Amino acid sequence: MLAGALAWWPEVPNLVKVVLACCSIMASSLPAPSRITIAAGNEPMLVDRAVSETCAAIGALDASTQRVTIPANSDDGAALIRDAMSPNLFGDATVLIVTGVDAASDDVDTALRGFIAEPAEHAWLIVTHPGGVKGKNLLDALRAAGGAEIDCKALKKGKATIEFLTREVRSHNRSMTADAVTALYDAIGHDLRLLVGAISQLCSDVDHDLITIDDINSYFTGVAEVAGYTIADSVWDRRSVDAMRSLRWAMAASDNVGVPTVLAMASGLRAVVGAGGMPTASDLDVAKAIGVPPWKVKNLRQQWARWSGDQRRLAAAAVALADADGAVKGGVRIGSSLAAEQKLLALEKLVLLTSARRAG
Amino acid sequence: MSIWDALVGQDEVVAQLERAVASAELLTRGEPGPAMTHAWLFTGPPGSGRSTAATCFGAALVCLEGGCGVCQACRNAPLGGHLDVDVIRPDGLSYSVDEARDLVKQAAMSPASSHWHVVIVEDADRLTDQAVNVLLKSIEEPPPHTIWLLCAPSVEDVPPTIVSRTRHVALRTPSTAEVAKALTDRYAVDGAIAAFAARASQGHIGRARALATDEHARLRRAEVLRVPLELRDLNSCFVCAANILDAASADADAITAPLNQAEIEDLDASYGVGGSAAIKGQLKRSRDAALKDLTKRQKTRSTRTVRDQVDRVLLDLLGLYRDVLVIQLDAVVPLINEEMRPQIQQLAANSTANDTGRRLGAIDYARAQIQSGVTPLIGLESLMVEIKDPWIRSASA
Ligand SMILES: [Zn+2]
Repeated sequence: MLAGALAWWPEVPNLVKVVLACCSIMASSLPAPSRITIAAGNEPMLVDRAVSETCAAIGALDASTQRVTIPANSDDGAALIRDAMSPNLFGDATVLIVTGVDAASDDVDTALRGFIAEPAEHAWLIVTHPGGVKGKNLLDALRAAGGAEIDCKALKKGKATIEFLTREVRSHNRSMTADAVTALYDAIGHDLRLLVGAISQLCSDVDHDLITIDDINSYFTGVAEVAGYTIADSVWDRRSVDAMRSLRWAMAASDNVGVPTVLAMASGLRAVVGAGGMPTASDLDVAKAIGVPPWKVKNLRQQWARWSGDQRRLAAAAVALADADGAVKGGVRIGSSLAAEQKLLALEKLVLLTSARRAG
Repeated sequence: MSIWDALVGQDEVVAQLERAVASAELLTRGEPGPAMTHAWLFTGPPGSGRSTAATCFGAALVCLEGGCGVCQACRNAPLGGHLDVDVIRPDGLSYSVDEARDLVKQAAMSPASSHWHVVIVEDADRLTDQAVNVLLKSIEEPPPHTIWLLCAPSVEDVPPTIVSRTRHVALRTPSTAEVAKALTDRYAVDGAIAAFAARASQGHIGRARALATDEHARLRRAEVLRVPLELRDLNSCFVCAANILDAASADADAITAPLNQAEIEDLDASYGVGGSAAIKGQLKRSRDAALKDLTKRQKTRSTRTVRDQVDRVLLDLLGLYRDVLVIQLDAVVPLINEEMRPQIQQLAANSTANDTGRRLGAIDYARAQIQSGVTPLIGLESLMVEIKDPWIRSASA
């Protein structure tokens, strides 16, 4: 286990490690972290943020810190926790992140109480708990041992969220007009991850100090323009959650995302299938044949590989795309001339059947 | 030669319209012209030439000779290249109220160089009820020089309020024999090729002429009809879709390129470009603006023509699978694509009549999609997938 946790940490010479650690201590203004931290609540964005900020604060003390994430309900959870707590070869610090302690197995519960009773010198503990009464006993023990609690409860819709967003803007040392905050919230909806991401993007994109509703509007225009390609990439990467998220975001941003999204998805599919049809050709030849820049070919081949066992679904996607194109353009109209031809065809079929020498 | 040569097997219609043109001439001199009226409805199945009849009628009205077929007016008007003949098609799936309002304004303009301002409304079956309400008054009592020509597949496709306010011109589908005869008479086409073109085009006169007179068009058609034998995997479906679009674009280009060239030459001639002195200043700016406008119109026409040619290609495929069904049902009817009998027999042997029915339905649906505004390549890709695997929709459901 120890070797595994170390594996991703490059073999940096010790001197460099020391220099890095000193630099980060000097640069850091984060408060000193507690030995035990509790991220309590079920808002994923806040939980993620609590964990990553705590890790950053610990990392600022010791740049060689290892990070180990252990789900509290995993079978080998207790063993992993004990591993992480035992001193390691280089004496590096370890941040132990135990997620979902409401569902902790008895073994994990015991292992964590072991940490409370006798905290390892080099180890830091972060636990996440979604709220509710399950696992409350363990939580109380962690609190009693001096655990610092970070509130990660889901925000109520409306005023509470607006206030949170305003604070969020202020944390970037920027300000935003009240109508701009409301417009942003209305456009994106109650998805903190998206909201926080948008605020961060806005703060870095907008040059002038006060962010106004005009900035929100031009931001969303930009989002809608690139959305089609972002969605298409996620879809053909088979990252459906990302695709759905981008789509929702794009739809919040503009009423006219349908047509460009279908076009982007279709050209994406065309490129994936095109690259898939030339498995032995060089990247350059593929790029020339299907009209994409050469650096994209590798990605297209990967996308093709992700679908290769599922060709019929990919084929069905081509059919669904044409249906979607019809739908976003206002529906497919079965014209009267076509209907007339269909009638003719039906009649002709009838004639064919009746004139057949034998039954079909 | 006369403008009416473009119509095949429509003697009664031609006689009716010639009387109307003669009456129109009388009206311009203040005499009574009972065979002429200010609003017409042209109906006929696809390919019978209902729009051709309307545009020829429009050209004949603005031609000084009543439809000589050779002057600039006669050549340009049927292509939307004459100021006094507007050919209107809906931008989207149907005519919106806004389009109808614009149309009424446009129709109210006085003729520029002739006595009549002809407004041809193609696909009048695509007028929404609201659009019809906007148009009704102008159709009933148009400005003195305005002539409305509405086109639709049949009278049933048009609201009764329009039918009652228009004079009816009904075209019929010409027989294969009539089409073949027209081809040999007018284009000196070899009898066997004329018979093939008439059969392959299933009475669609414009298509028949292209197949009879353009060897490349025949080759492209043959290539398209080989497509069903080439659909091995997903990649080949996409390749075939692209090839079909290329073939249709080449067919469209064969139609529009000469028109574009002629229109630009006419435009330049009217500004004196091409002489010894280069044009300058205000005149040059004016000519550049006119050229920009013309190029834009040509581009719109080219997009539309590609869509139309894709539809032609799909009709060819429809005919092919109809032949497959004929073989599968062992019916005693001639094949449209007799020259491809071995390939058709192969297709018939490798599938059931049920499969063929699904494929025919898929082709029809793709035509409706593309006519409704689905991007042609996307529609074709979907169709190729469905032809390869006619049950794919059940898989994705
Ligand atoms: Zn003329």
